[in-house]
Amino acid sequence: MTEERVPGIAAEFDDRAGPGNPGPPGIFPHSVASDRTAGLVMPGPVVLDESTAGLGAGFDEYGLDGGVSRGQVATVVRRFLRDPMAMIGLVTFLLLLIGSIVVGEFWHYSYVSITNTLNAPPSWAHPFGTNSIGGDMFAQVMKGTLQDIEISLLVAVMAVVLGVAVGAPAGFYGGKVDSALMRFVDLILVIPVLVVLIVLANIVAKETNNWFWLAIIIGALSWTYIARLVRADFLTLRERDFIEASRALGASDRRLILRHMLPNAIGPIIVNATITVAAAIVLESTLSFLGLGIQPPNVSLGLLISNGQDSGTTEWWLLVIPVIFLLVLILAVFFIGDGLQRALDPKKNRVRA
Amino acid sequence: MTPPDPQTAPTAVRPAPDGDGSPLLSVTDLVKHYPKRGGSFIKHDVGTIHAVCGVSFDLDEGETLGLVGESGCGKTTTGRSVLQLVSPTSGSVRFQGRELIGLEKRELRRTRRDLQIVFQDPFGSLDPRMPVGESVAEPLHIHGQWGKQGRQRVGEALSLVGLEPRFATRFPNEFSGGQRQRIGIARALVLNPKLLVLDEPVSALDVSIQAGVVNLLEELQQQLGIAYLFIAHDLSVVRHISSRVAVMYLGRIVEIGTRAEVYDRPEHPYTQALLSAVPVPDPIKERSRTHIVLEGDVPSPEHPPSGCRFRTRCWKAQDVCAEQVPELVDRGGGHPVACHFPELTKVV
Amino acid sequence: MTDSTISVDDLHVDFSSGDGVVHAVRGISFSIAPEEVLGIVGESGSGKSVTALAAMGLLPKNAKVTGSIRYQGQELLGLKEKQLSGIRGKSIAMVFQDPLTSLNPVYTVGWQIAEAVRAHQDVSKDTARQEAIRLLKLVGIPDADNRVDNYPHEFSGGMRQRVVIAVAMANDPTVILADEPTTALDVTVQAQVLSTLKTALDETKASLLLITHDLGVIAGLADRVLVMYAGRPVEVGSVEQIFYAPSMPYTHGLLGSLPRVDSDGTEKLRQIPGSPPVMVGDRVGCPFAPRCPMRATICEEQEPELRPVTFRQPTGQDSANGMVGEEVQPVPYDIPGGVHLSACHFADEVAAMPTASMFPDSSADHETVLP
Repeated sequence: MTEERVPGIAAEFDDRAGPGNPGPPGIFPHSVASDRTAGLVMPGPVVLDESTAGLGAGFDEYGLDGGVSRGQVATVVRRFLRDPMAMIGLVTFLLLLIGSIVVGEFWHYSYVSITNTLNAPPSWAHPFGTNSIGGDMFAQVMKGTLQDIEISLLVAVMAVVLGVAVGAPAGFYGGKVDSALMRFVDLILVIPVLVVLIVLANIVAKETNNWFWLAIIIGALSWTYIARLVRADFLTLRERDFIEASRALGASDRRLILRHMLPNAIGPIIVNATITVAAAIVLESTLSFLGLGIQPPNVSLGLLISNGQDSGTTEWWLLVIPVIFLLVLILAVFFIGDGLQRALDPKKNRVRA
Repeated sequence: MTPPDPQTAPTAVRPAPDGDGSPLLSVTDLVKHYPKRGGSFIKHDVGTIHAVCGVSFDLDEGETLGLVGESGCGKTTTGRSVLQLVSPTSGSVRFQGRELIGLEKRELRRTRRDLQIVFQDPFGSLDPRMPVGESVAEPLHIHGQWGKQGRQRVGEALSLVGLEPRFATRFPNEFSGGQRQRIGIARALVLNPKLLVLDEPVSALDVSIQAGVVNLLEELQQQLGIAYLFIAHDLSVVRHISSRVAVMYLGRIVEIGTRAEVYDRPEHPYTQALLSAVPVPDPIKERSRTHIVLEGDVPSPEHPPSGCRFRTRCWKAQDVCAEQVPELVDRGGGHPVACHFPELTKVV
Repeated sequence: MTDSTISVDDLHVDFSSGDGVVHAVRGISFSIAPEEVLGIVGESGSGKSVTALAAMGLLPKNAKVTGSIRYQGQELLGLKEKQLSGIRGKSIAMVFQDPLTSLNPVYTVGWQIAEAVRAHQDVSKDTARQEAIRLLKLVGIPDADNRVDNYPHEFSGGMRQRVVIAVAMANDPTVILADEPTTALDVTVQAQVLSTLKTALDETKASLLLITHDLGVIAGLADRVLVMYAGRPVEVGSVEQIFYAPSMPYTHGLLGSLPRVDSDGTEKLRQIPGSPPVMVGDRVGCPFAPRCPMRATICEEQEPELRPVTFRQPTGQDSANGMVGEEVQPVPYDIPGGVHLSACHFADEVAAMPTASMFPDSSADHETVLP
């Protein structure tokens, strides 16, 4: 069945002629090398001028089609570094991360310290003030930030590992394997995440008070989106000619998945991983806010917000500062994710004529 | 099958055949049916697509067999079946004397060293994430032949196809379509295969680029003595490169013979219609030729006509054509043809 | 020019892209006389399809079109969409590579043909339907009496294309514009569609602008041929002049690179080294020079004008100007009303050369890879 195709420039500027499916235009050359040898009349090994014609179906001018590989990592990184929003996000995130570690090590108060200054507004001694029992807010907010970052990163790692472990075989093998795995995913999706989290987290929090297990639980319920993504990507990749070519060479399934399909699918996975980080922060903050996540004496931004919510009008620093930090953290992660997406596939932002 | 005629294949150097004189590739009664699955809730079989229905041919070392036909004739499926990229429904594929169908996985993988494929789409057949040198090296890695010589062999393969070895670090998108096709050929050659299946290798290239790749394939055959199974729909290219030609229609071979026999002395009406339909870039000749214009469409491979499958569009069709499947045998014309009423008519 | 149906004058089409301005068409002029078939031939990037789309006002918004395209004296460029659509599809019928772009999927083919008929003649619905059936039979659709009520998707690719031609015929056009009408089709189906196209030309007495890369199709249909390269015509002439006396090296190269179904297959194919340029930015000299075996200093400095060819027998070589030769009369294969034009500094010498002597028959890859 012929597909929808408006006859346009596409038919003009690609390398194909004859029955087949012309790809999108390849009218973006690299530099035009000029290396002519003048005066030669007879053909021989000639060094010629001319720019590229080699751009075709699905590739942008850097050849990145949602994936990344060694030589192209440099290009992606370069693009990322040139993107102002992405850099703001990255720098902010790094500042928060490094700052919180440094503060935790070197600030003379720790997050469990109790001082005699109660409910003090921000001052030189206590840059973020103190709370009702004399705890230093600066140490606590920084510790809370660090905690959130730790949890969310662990969640993201789990989500990616589980997501790929389920999505890759589903997409690659299809058929019964796919059906079985996807039914499993559907099962997880059907579970009301928040309710389960609340129950489980409550138990875990009360029993162990270890952020690690909290992260595990959140992670165990966050991988489904990535699994679907990987599955969809793999299903399309499976049909690509170069996969069949490798198979024809005798490549094993493992080789196909690890060396060919994953590198080609990694782009959306990375982007989604950053979104998962942000989502985990939000989720954990919600739980902690409700008292079901991180328990005292451990702190997280959500917990601090919960503690400070009644003091909003009087001791504003107990509420406002944790909120600001939470927002800034989430936004920083979003900017990074957005920047990554643009660095991997700049075409998404161009308006196609 | 008719042995190839050395007079008509000057471009293919024929290395000495192996001791017992058996062909390199021997396909017998190859059948591939695809079940058509439908149903909204529970998928079940609603029909069968008869893609390949009893195809037989031989291929000797160092020669080229062109497999031509139009869309849906089953030539691509035949190529894939020979390589065991799809598992045939029935039949036999003997390569170097060994039966490939049902061969144990590890043995099959070893056979793949000698039996390679070049695909149609130069834009899709290379992994966009890998530098081309790695793509070309992949067969070496897979079959454990990388070793110390690996890099050198990659360089050699690239030079063989006319590309400079130093381009091995570039990515596929930095090359044009013709160059990518050459890289695909290099990849297929790096293990020194005996047989190369080429599935429409030049159809996606501009005409002036096609010439270079076709010339390359001919030279490689002369140098290395590889046999080609050249699958294409472009009859002009096939005539140029093949020593023998098989014409397929709806899953069956309707005529097979040497290049000269099929092109200059065709006997099957479909071959004649096919040849007369190819436009010749020569105004006076083109306008004075008779062009046979067929009626109607190709029947669906789901419900192929009984007896001779071409009968629904054939101007000679009679009752026997619907009742009896014509066998692919020599009916006096010198080469096998599957028609009850073959008639030699020169159309080009 | 006053009796020409379509007259294009110095058409330029530029696209703004992320990397600069792309000069897709760089000054093409031609005219089509009534009942004439003009074939425009070229490979990817030559600008042939863009020319056709420009004539129909079908280019995207970022295209800048200058020059003139006249249909029966009326200027088409700059016309409002409403006026253009009155001409497009009716007086100028279009046949594209993908028939589904011309056919409306939600109406039966009979309805679509009948609509076109009734737009031109004041007849009843029944008469129009009968005419639709007649046209379907004329284009070779089997069982036309029943298939007249089928929808476009119920036909195969080749049949659909024939339906498109039937609709075109119903519109009684003065010009048919066919852009790669058979490229995506199997060869026997192509034969069917081309035969249908010939029928359409006989019935409607329209002229045909046929755009394709397939020289065989051109050989079978065209009266005159225009060869495009890098956005402009590099050779124009009668079909016999182009095929038997090409006077531009690119044309030589194209003809020499074609494998022919009627050859015995022993001759080597001639390859044109390099690849077609992408027309971004400004350049000096002949765009074909880097690939041309006749290249001389003048070719790199000055882009050759399209000028009439006189035939010269080569007698020697001048290092500054390339070949020199003496004139041969009369000009072969001329047709009345046509002039053999070529954009090459050495057109006259090239015209006298046999194709086989010009391009290499090697298999080496002469295309560059980027630094």
